[in-house]
Amino acid sequence: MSIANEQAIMGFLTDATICIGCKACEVACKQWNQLPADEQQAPFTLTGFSYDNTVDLGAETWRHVAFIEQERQSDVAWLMVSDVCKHCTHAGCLDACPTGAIMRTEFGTVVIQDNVCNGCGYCVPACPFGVPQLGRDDGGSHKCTLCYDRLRGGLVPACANTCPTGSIRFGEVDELKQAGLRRVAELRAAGEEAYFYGDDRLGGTNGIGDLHAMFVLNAPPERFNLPSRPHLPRRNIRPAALATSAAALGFALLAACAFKRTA
Amino acid sequence: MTKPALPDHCGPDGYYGQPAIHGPHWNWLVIGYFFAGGISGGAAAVSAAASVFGDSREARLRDHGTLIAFIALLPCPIFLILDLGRPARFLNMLRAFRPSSPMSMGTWGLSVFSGLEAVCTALIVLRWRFGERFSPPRPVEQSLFALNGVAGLFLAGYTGTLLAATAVPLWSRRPWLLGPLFLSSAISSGCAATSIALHAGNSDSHEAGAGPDALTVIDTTSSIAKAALLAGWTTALGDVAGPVVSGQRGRIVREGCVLIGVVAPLAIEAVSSRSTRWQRAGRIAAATLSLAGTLALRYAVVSGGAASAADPRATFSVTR
Repeated sequence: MSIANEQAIMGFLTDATICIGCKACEVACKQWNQLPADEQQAPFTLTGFSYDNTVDLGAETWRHVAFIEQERQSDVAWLMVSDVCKHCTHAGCLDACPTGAIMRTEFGTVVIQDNVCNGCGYCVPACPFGVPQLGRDDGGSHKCTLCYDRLRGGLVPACANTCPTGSIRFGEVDELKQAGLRRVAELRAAGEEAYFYGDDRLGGTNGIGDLHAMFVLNAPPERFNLPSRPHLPRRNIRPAALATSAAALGFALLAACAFKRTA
Repeated sequence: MTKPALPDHCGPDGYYGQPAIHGPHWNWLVIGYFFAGGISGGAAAVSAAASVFGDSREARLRDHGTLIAFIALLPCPIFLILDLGRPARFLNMLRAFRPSSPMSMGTWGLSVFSGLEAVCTALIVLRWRFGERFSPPRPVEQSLFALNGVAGLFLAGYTGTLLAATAVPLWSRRPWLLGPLFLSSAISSGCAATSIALHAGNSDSHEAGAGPDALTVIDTTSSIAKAALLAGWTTALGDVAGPVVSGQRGRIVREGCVLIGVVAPLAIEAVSSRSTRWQRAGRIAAATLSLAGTLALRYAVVSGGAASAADPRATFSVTR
């Protein structure tokens, strides 16, 4: 891969159907990005009966492998997928950031500049997917950078590089989207349950646009704690601001009448 | 081999009950800012109205409103800076101007309001100290107070938009009701604080039996609007209203915001306004309760947002 003048938009396609839950992506991400160990509730926590000790994406976990235990007729089956920042086409965190710390890179990814972030924390509830989080110790907001430093150096992101099954693919967003849609069509043709997560039907809905980190899922998104049809929070500014302005106008009229009447 | 029993919380939806989104870290500092900033913006708006619409008899109301706005404004930047994860970098807020971020717009609005409010306060203090010697022409002064009132209304109202522009179900579900709720409660708290200042300082400012004065009309109307919007908002929230209608926080909303904050002050005002002897004490008591109710509302809405974000069913009910 080379960085040309016309830089292509890069992203991930993560395929739940071929994830084996090895968590190599979590480890590679932590190693490359020098992330500290997760804050642990005492005692040490695992979700369900599985091996998920990181539980959620957060300031210290930028790849999170979800383990979902499904009851079958005779035993228990696992669903697994490696969750990550979606690097949205229209990103709630980027809209919300008041300092300009969160930026759109030449790869189309969304990166928090740690030397600018002042830890206001507004990007945290502004993300429809629950990705950014304030660090315990340094007070700044953190999330996946899609390995911006590695991309600048012509390398593949650490998680995609280490994934042993090809569940995490890195490439141009347009190609990955086509590949993901093809994969879903194949699985459905074979009678399997499959969903493409990351377009305007699922995941990239209500103003968010296509996700630059897409998923092939073998269960409804909510099973993986992913919202089906999230909203871009910025869209609420207009109704809230218009209604507030109307109320302010109402106040002005009320005040004018009150003072004239009592004058 | 026997089949292992799955945990109870491993239902058909969600991931072991884990939150689907991240809640805000905001604590009493932000609650305090919303409360103090609301009082400040509301009082400045009332003061501006007295300056623009009122005659010379309303000069006391105008002056007290602006001074209360100034005092309430003082802790606001301190609350906001201490709330930052990296307080030393608070000036980074002013390195971007971003209409897509209500927090960016709010920072700029607060900055502009602080400047105008300082000028208006200075005019009042100069007049008290030196008479009319340093007073600008009346149209200039009225324009300054009017601008300050507009900036005050912005400060009083933008916080509702700030909460609405998130993924938190409680805050984002009904943006067109949350914004006016924040504005009306800010105006009612600005009226209440100004009323305390007016009546604590002077016992014969308003004569009983002469009909309600303008401040009381605005106070009463904004309090009723606040209660009506709160009822409408919690009803319109539907299945994501839980954090503000049930449990302890539900009690705080019903008894703190509505009963203590709106019903009791209106009753006290209605009874005490008939008596010359009790009017002043009644006004102060009513205004104090009204302020307590608005503080309860700020607490309930901010802390309720964290509870709402922690509930994946609430998130999924608005994203299906």
